[in-house]
Amino acid sequence: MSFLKAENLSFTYPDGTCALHSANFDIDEGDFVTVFGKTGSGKTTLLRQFKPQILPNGTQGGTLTMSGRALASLTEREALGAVGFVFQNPEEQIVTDKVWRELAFAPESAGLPQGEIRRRISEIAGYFGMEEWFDKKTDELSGGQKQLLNLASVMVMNPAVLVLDEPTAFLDPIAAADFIAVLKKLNRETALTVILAEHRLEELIPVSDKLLVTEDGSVKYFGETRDVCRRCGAEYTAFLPAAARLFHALGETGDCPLSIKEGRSFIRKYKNNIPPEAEQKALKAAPALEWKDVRFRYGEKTPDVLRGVSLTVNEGELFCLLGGNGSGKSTALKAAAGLLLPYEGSVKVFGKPLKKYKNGSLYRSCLTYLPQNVQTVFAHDTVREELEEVGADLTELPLDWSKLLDRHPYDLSGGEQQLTALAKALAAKPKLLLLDEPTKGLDALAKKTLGDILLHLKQNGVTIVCVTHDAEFAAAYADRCALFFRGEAVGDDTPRAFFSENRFYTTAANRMARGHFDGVITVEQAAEVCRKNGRGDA
Amino acid sequence: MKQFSRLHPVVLFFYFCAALGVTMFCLNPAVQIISLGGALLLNLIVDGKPKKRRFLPLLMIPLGGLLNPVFSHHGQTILFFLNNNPVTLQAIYYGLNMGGTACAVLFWLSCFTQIMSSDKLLCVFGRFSPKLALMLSLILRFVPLLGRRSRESREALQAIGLFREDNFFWKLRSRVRVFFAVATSALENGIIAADSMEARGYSVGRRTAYSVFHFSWADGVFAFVSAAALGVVLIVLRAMQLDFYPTVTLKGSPVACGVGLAAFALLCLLPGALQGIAGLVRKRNIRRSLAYGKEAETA
Repeated sequence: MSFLKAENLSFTYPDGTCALHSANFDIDEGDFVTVFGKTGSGKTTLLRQFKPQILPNGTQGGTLTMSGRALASLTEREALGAVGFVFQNPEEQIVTDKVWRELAFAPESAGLPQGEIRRRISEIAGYFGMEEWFDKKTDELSGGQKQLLNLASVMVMNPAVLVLDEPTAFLDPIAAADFIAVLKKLNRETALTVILAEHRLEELIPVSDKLLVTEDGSVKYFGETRDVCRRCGAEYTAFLPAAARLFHALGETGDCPLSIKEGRSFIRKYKNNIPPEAEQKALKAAPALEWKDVRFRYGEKTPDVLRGVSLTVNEGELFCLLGGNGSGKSTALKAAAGLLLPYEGSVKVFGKPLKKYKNGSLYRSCLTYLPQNVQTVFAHDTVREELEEVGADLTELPLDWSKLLDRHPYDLSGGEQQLTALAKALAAKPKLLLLDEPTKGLDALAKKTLGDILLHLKQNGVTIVCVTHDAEFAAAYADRCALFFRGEAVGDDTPRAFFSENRFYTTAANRMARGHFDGVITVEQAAEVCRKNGRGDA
Repeated sequence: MKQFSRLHPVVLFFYFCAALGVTMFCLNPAVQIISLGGALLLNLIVDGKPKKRRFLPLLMIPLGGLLNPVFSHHGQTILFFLNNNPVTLQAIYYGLNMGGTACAVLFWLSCFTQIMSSDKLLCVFGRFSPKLALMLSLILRFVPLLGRRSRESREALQAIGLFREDNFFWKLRSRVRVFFAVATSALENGIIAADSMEARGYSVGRRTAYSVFHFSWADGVFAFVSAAALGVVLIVLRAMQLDFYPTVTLKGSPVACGVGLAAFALLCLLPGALQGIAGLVRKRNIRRSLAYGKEAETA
């Protein structure tokens, strides 16, 4: 008998809309299952079936059993030890002020005695390497630490199944990889069953045992990872890792490569007589945004965050600023948006120093900036009111707004929120658009929509500067990229030159093709050059 | 030996209540002087390097002595007349005493805020009601979060041209906008917090309140000694009170008052002494323990 078994599982809201219907799957103990699907395809509804305590109002149909017992029939106390649930937003699911109090929350709720709680939270903090920040305030933690704390404060009850709803969406790539490594360690060392929905699948799919793909509230594909990757339809290939995308783009059959390593040997089945096409040089244009020796620090005695940033973005460019956490890229963008005053150096927008823009004229028909958390610009109950407030012109964004207008901005998916905020920002008709991490928490399709909209804006003469961690996005859409390191901008260049010179900070396609086809940075380019060369063994 | 500030929060809380209570409700300059002495001593030891303005409250004593006779004209010994009103010696005494009381209370409260961290306070409340302690912890998490959100919203709205301070109308509108943005985010994201609490068994049943503090024998001894001293003071409290008008007289027998003052002195000086001596012992022991390692290295 399988460990977790869903038979005809369905979920219907009180108004009759069916969010999940006739889902069937078996999960064995110790399986690592990754769930993905388009926005609104029912991933979250499916995951919440495992934790009846947090199901929205509605009726569940069919059965979901764990070792033969229906999960819905467990008492609250039993459910606490059976299934742990981690949510997407690291910030909002932390409820107490101190790290150790957060860890103690679940055992306190279960009414465990002092000694037992002490033992449990000490053990868990040791296992997760939290000793250093055990006494800290939850407010002082980094995003990665916050999400690790959320995981630990669920694992403290030692659940048999761990369910996570897009836990790395808000993390930078390094913190996300660390988080997944911890999950995999838990899974390997304690045979913990992990069920995880995620957008960022490049590193996740190669370590998953099974994949589950949702579509319109039902289970479209379920099975072994490699098998699902091979047979999934064209509309899902965008979600797959670069190696599998290349496999599909070339219309191959047989074993589907998943990891970079497998991708490298896959790509070497092709001859490499014809090199990839050379890139067109960017045209010289007038500068739209210039940082000149900009220095800034947050406190009187703290070290400089910007240590002499000098960089020029030309008119009509889509420029990406990449770099690790704390490298100063977001601060540099805020300085360009006039939200910070550098203590040395100057920022010029369209050749005019920032301080010459008086009385907010900077933000009228000149420049707009969107922060990482776009929710901060929402203040109304519907998208319609948000957009009417600023008189946004919806025809500018090639998108179907009809479904979104009457919804609450907070109920939208990450991608839809980003686009709504963008529409709000574009109402001021900026010539320079500054975006901080616009692809954060977006799935592959939403990223493509956003990227295409940015290209459309660029064609209409808008200069765009993005801060991003997303090398794939920068490789596909940027005209030029620069790397931030310790408060300085280094190595600004075209994406191809930029990423093919980097060895670690580069795209998956480049890592696979390096040595065989140099200068390839996207899967599309790799597929094209492979097609031209043809297979060596054919 | 355990330093005063390391005692169990419940013991500390009880102690501060006792010291503050007696100081506030006992009209006797000797009590104020003892109390002030104890509080100052503890303040100096806990703070290490206090700033000069820390001692500003001491000015309240002469201020009380100056102000009270202006408003109160009771008392037998008339010194002189001010605007045809008598200024009496007893009114001056009373004013000095009131100033002393206020000053001592302030110094005790200053010790309280330095020693009772939020963790300790929550431990005390957790004893009475785990739910209350949790509630306070939620508030401690939530308030700084709201502050940060409003800063973020302000910046975000400014950068899309919706936060302007050109004129009064814009200022008002902009502030209202930030308020709504923050309120929306607090309410909407509150749902996530609620789910997160529910998923971790919030409604399972009776909560316990975990705390990182242990109750040791030293806490017991300290609690016993201070409770005993407080008991003695409370028994003779009536005898210790002074009447200021018409003349300054002791209400009870001088012997009872003496016993009470001795007990109160023990109560007030105990923390400072404990903090100081235990601190020195600790320092010496640490030095000894480090030297031990070095001796072993050279040997």
